[in-house]
Amino acid sequence: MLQVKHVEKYYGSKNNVTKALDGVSFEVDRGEFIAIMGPSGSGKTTLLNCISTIDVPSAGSILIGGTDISAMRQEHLAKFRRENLGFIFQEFNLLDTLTIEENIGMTLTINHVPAAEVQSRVRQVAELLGIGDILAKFPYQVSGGQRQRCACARAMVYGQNLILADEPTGALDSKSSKDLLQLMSRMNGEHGATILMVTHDAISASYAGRVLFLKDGRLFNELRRGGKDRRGFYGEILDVLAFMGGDVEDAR
Amino acid sequence: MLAKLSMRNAKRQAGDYLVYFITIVLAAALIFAFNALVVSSEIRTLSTYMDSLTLIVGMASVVVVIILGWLVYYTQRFMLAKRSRELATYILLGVENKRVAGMFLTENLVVGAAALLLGLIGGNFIYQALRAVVFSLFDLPYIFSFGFYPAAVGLTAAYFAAIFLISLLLCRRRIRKLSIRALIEMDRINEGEVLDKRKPRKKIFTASIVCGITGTALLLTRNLGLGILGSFLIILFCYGFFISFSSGVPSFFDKRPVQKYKGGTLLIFRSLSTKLASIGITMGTIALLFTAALLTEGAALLFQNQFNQNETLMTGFDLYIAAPAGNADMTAYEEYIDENMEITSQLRYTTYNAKDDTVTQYVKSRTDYWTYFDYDQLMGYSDYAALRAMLGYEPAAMSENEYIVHCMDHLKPALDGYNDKLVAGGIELTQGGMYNEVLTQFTWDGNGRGFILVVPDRAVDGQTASLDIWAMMTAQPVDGKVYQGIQDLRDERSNLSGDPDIYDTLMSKAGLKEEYASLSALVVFPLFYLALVLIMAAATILTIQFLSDAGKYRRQFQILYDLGMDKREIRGTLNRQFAIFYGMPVLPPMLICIVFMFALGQAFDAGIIISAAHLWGIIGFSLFLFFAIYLLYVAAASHSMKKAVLPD
Repeated sequence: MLQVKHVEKYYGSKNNVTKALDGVSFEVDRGEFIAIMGPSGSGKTTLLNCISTIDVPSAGSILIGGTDISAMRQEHLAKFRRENLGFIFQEFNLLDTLTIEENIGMTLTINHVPAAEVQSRVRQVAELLGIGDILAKFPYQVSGGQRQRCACARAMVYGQNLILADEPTGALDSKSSKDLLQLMSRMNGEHGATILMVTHDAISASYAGRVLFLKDGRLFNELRRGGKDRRGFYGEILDVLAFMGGDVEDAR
Repeated sequence: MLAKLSMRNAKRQAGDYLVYFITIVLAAALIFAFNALVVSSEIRTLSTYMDSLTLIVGMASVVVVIILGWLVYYTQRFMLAKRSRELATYILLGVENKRVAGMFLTENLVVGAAALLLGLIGGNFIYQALRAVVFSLFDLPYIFSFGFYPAAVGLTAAYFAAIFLISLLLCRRRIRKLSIRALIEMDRINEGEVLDKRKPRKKIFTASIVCGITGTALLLTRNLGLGILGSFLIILFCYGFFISFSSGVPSFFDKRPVQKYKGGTLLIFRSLSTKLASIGITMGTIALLFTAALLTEGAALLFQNQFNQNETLMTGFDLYIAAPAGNADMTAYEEYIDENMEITSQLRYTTYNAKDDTVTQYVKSRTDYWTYFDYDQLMGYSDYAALRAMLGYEPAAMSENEYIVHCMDHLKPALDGYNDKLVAGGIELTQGGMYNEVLTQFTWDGNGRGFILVVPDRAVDGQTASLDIWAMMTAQPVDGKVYQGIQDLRDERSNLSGDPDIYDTLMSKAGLKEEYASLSALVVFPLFYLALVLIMAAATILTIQFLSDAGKYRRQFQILYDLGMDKREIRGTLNRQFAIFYGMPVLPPMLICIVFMFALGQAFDAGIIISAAHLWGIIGFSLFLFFAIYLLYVAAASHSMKKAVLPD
């Protein structure tokens, strides 16, 4: 589904180069739920931006569904992004002027889905994610957890191939975080959504099937959950973080 | 330290509110230019009519001060709300409310003073432009001469002080009373939706449309009482329409999801209704100001047209004196004219009554025409030929058994088909041609009323004389003072006779020029002055409102870009939002203005508006002038908005 090959990303000018990503390579299979962890400045967000086509790698290639997006022309990227990628942002990034229904429907409108189909498709996915009763409300009228569910619905309503989540629980309380992560697990397990989540929260990462650790722009380690329960997996994540030298605060 | 901070903020404010700043600079320039016109002795001595300029410009200035006062107060309140968090921080750090209020006052005074100073400098150029126009109206050569007008500077400064001080004192009172919490929350407070989202809005929307149509219809009645009622209804329409429109649109689309999700409709209608919900009253006021601006400007152009037409159509002679036949006594005039003027050509002649008013009735049945003479008017061919020669027109040939119709241009279509035989002095005549040059046939007391029938000299023998006329061409245009002397003689003759019917008609080409040039300066200039300020004030508020949302729009389009909306679509959506936002408050005023101008156009004497195309031309020009200014604001806002909003 996703192939990241020797990706490098530099910032700055000739005399002052910062290497944000340094030869990162990994693959994600269809239907996988993968988390990328690392302390602040490790390159997580840069990697996510490169995968989401918002940023361009300095070297290496990124293939999504076999398409090399790093070689894609700028004018085709927007189309690729709207057809293949779903986004869940830390700050929800919902449009304040639209209702929850319209925020979800916006993705379909951007993708030129016939107007007559929009409402029914939105309602279908909203029911699935448990937000059917708040569709007529505006984002400021609902809780943070509900807003993030709306973002989840927006990320999957068009049938996007890959959902990219950037610290999705960052702005939520612990109860809402737990509900959201369970929902994402369900999206992955029951509906086959492929999810790539960037987080520095070990609890959030423990909901994933696989965790990649980034440090100073390089892949440092990789953990697979396998048959382990979430609590055991969480312990393993904390061990890796401790080994990486991260403080407990880094793991929240 | 606080003063330094204050200065820095004043500078920064000038950048944030550039459009507002430019507008008040222009306003200061306009105020100065018009005041300089009033106090300038060279302008005031152009004509005795110009004595009224002080009063008229003074009245216009009062309205201008009120409009600008509103603009400044609105913008300062807006700035206060936008900067409330910053001000709250000062208070939080221990600065007293009084000092913060003082700082806000100082900043705005600095901005106002800078605008005034720049305006006074720029005003000199506008004054020169106005001076050039006035001189050209009076057919005088324009020579650049720079004058210093302390009275105009003083008046402009006084007006500006009134505008800024009242507004600032209101704002200062506000700040001094505010708590930190209130300041922090201030930027989140909108106008508040005036109507809630239930049934009343529909009723108000419908009622506002009815008010708009009824109000416009009442304006057309040309009745003062009904006109005032009509104006009031139009005010209701402007507010009702925008208050209810902003609440009504979402409910319209909620019931029509298919239309809602079509193309970029969703984004556009939501952004617009959200914005209008919070500034419905402001939009109503803006629409009202635009309506006033368009009406004022339209009226100015129509009056200008009337003055131009009157001046052209009234007479072609340098001096024209007419008296009812039998009462004419030109002796006093002769002596005075001999002493004061050099005549190059002249003719004394008589016009006659025909045996009936057949042609008059024919014209009346076919066009808008008011009758003055009970009989068709006749002129002998030799007089006609001499008059044509005096005026430099081509000779008009006519055989012994023919007659010529000489009419106003606008009566030509009505008379075109008239080929009936005419019997005058017992001779039967056939139509031998039609001419329509200016022959002093426009008014009731000229060579006929709108038209005159030219017949062979033998056909007027024995006919009843109508007017005794003395037409003259002079070496120099008739001087204003000399013309006044002739008018005094006329008045004296009338007073002495004790008969109100003895009141000779006097017309002088130069006199008419002076009269209508003065009227243009007195009526048209102040109307344009008002229109300009109205457009600038309303467009500035609109632009400030739109640009203040740049941050929100930027965030919105960044999200959409991240979600995969391509830049072309984003640009298109922004353009459409932009067009609707700037188009909405202009559309109703445009419709009202077109209807009003048509009505006013009909109210003028026939011949002033030559044809529907002529009227449309004036309306078109009026709209062109309006949009020439408005689009400058639109372009400035569009440029800033695109720069600030579109994703990189």
